[in-house]
Amino acid sequence: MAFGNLKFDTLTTSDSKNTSTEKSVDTSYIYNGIPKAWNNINMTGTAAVRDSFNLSGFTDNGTGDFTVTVVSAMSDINYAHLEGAGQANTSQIAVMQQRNDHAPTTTSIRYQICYDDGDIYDAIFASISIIGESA
Amino acid sequence: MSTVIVNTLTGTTTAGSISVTGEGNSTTTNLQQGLAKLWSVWDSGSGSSKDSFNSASLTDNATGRWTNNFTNNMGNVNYAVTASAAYSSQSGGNISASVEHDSSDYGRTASAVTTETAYDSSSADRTLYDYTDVTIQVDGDLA
Repeated sequence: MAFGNLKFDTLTTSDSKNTSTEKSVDTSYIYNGIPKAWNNINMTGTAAVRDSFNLSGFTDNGTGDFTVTVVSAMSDINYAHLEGAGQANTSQIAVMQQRNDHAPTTTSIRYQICYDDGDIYDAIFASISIIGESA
Repeated sequence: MSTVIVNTLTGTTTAGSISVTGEGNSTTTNLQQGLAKLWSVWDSGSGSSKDSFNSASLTDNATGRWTNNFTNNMGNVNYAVTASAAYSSQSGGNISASVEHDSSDYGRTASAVTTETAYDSSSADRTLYDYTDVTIQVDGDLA
């Protein structure tokens, strides 16, 4: 008996809150809705990736500045990306953002982490989640 | 058009690994790895959850400092955390943000994750604040 491939368009299940109400979702939502890559990076000292999905490379460009590269490329550069940086400074807000002077590509994106006064720093926790269409 | 009615999806080769083919009909992505393992939206002003997935409860640690407790725990502490806080009149034209705290005092565990929301009107006067719309998403491996 062959296993391994199941082709269908709609997945139906009872919902997660146990209301016994049958819920359906088009499989397009499954593919398009799940993050295509995520990672958790420790930027301090010798920067290192703690854990990741679909991440092939990580480049430490300097303090608070790094580039991530994905294994499976995105279909275009119009993907969504969410960021989060941990902060140790209790008097300022940590901001993690894509570097505007380095346009994202289908395989990589460059980030910078700084405090609201512009001071760039290495965060202990730097997280990214990328959602969009794979190539 | 076909419909599969099921309550649990399990891989055959590896129970916790299912590939999903994309609309381009060639690339696949891993379903389990890609699924967000928690999302939560709450009003930290009133202390009430608006909606969530895999968040069993909220803990109010202090103004602007909240913990989401997982229903199903993560497999380790290496998960990715992204979060945001809505603009409000309190923050005015200032920065508002929701971030994870670096300190081990308010850090992450496999069963809970803590975030902070704050605004800053000028340099170095970060003020923790309870916003009415705070969101968080967690990606990573379930236990």
